[in-house]
Amino acid sequence: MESYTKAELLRSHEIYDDLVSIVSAFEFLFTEVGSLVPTVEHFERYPSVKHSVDNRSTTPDFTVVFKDGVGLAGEIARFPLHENGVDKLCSQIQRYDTLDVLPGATASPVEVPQGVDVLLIVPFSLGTAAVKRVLRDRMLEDGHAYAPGRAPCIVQYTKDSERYTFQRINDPANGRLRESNRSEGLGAWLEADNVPVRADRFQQIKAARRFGNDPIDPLYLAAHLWVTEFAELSQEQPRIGRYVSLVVDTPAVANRLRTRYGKGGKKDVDRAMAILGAAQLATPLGGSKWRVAWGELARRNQIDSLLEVIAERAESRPKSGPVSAMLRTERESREKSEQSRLF
Amino acid sequence: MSRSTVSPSLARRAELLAVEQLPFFDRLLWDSDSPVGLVDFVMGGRRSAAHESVAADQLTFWTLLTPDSDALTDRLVMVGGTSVLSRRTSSVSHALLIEFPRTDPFVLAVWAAETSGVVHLLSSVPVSDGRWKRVERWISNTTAGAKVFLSDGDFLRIGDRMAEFGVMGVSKLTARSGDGSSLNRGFPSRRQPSLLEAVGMVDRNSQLRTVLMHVGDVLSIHLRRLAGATFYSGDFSIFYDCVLREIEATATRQRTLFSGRTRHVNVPIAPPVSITLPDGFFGNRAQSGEFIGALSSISHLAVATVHRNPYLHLAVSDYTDGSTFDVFVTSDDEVDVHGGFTSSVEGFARLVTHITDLLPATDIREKRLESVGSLEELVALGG
Repeated sequence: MESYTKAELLRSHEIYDDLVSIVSAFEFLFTEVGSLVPTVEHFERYPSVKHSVDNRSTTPDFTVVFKDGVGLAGEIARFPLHENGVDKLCSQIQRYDTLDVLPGATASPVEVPQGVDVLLIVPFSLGTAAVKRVLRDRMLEDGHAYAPGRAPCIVQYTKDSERYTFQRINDPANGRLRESNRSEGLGAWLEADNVPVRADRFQQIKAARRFGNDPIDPLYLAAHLWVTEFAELSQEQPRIGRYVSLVVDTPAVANRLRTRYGKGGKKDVDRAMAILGAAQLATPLGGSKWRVAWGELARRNQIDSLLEVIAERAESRPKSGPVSAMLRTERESREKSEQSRLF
Repeated sequence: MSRSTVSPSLARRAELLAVEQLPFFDRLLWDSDSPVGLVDFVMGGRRSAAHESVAADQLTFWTLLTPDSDALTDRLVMVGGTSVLSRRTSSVSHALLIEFPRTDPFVLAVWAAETSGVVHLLSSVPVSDGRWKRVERWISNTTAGAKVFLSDGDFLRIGDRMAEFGVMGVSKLTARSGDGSSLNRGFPSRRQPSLLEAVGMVDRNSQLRTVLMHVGDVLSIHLRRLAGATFYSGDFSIFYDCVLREIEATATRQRTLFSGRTRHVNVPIAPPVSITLPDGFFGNRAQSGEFIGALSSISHLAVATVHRNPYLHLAVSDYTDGSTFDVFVTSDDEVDVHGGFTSSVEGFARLVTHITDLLPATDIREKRLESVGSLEELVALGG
């Protein structure tokens, strides 16, 4: 049985949500900024392409196919401290560098004859380290396994009260986006200036698509399921005491997520349900089915939202909660009806 | 013996006894069964009161959005339980005979407005009366009706309409600050400010909640932020035209504003509804925390924080009807509400009025999403 800590759950949620926000910001840039839109053939939020070298799926955080035949693979990364983690990241982006197809508008792959530029997006605090550890310690090191055809373009980001701001790190080893054949290019602006994107620019995109291309953070999905999907599914279900009894099948939930948001796998849902199970908000029924006790949850702290409530409950694994309360009410009601039948 | 177990004859006796105790106007409401317009009904009632030398009652109105006034009345009867002694229906209204323990009985009418989907609750019970407060709680506990928010502009428009009939003055106003504290100001009859002046007296972080306004002997009314108004005295037809019809128009605009925002698969998402706040209101992280806490403490809402910094993104659902929303605070003077895959008009209205009740909102409208022509423009605009 997996154990959870509230702080780690919330931290991981925050990192994942940053990824979703940043992908949404780039989706805004490539699909809504008037001067960039004519240069773009297709922006893909949930890319997955088979690599021609090994036929294995490759999944950058987003991809863009430009009309000039160049492709772009974006990867949002938080830098691991250990060297193995950096090697893994480099091996991942090296695969992007050698892609010859990217997802197109009709969901089928399209060729990118000019090859793929790699955009590596890192937090400001890790920008300098990224240049050193990816470019100097590996790419420029003779004989190192990380030897891309073109240097990746490392962009750092900061957040202030209303916006994300992106900036190419000014270092001679840092790569540039190839865009000389376009009327407007993002790379030139990232190089010459800071490119800010206010959150209200991409809020609609984020509300509509909700997820990023990485495996969905379990707490992120658990809260989403509880507040959105289960709220809707519960309306036609029986109420037992304070809670609605809702039986869900994880492949069906995943299918619902894919239909609505374009993303969501059974494994994602399984991990989220495990958190709800630890929080005593759902109980496994065997196979892929779970029974959820859905209803209002008590909050201990005045400013805690359900996110913190679920995380706290998952950490503490309470012996009682909505599931046990619902089962108790159900048992009592069954006993009462059996008694009335006897007499 | 509780009311729920009394025999039909005893219940009938209790009803007759309550009807005997009804104030003059409530008795008219209860006895009325002919299809007559609201203006004719009230003005006829006031003429009868004058004829019988009975003081004319004040009339409390509360305008609500509802898809079905029958269903709203059914819900009120259900939520009211044994306090609702009886109900009657005419072609234009429903009337509920209500009696709470140790208080006088009264009649609450659910009167269909001229525009569909909007009703006025009507009673002679003052809004400050405990009985009205209980009716307010009933409404909060039912999904069949939703409150309507009057913006600063709606207040001023009603004031302008009233001023067509003479010099209009404000004798009292109440306001609530963003920190929850209240402001009450009264003005002597010789120095009553105009509504515009009164609105200007409320500091930028506070929200005007109610005003008591007069136009000489022509009209005297109380206007409330969540689409309530009391007619005290004067010409009811002017009150109807200048106040109730304007509120009705606002209610209809809001019904339209909240309609068509349900999300559909593979269809572009509609723009959000934007709630305007004073400049700089969400200036710090603490303010966001208080907002999350206040919204989470509303019992029928499920609220999960999706993102807190640099902007606020909340996923919200309404436990009562499963409506789902995304709420964003992306600037310091606006809250944006996006509909989800199941967002009823009433659910939308409930959430938006909750937010306008928690924060010093001045307006609600569809967010205008300005397009960005170029990266140069984006950079120049700071994003």
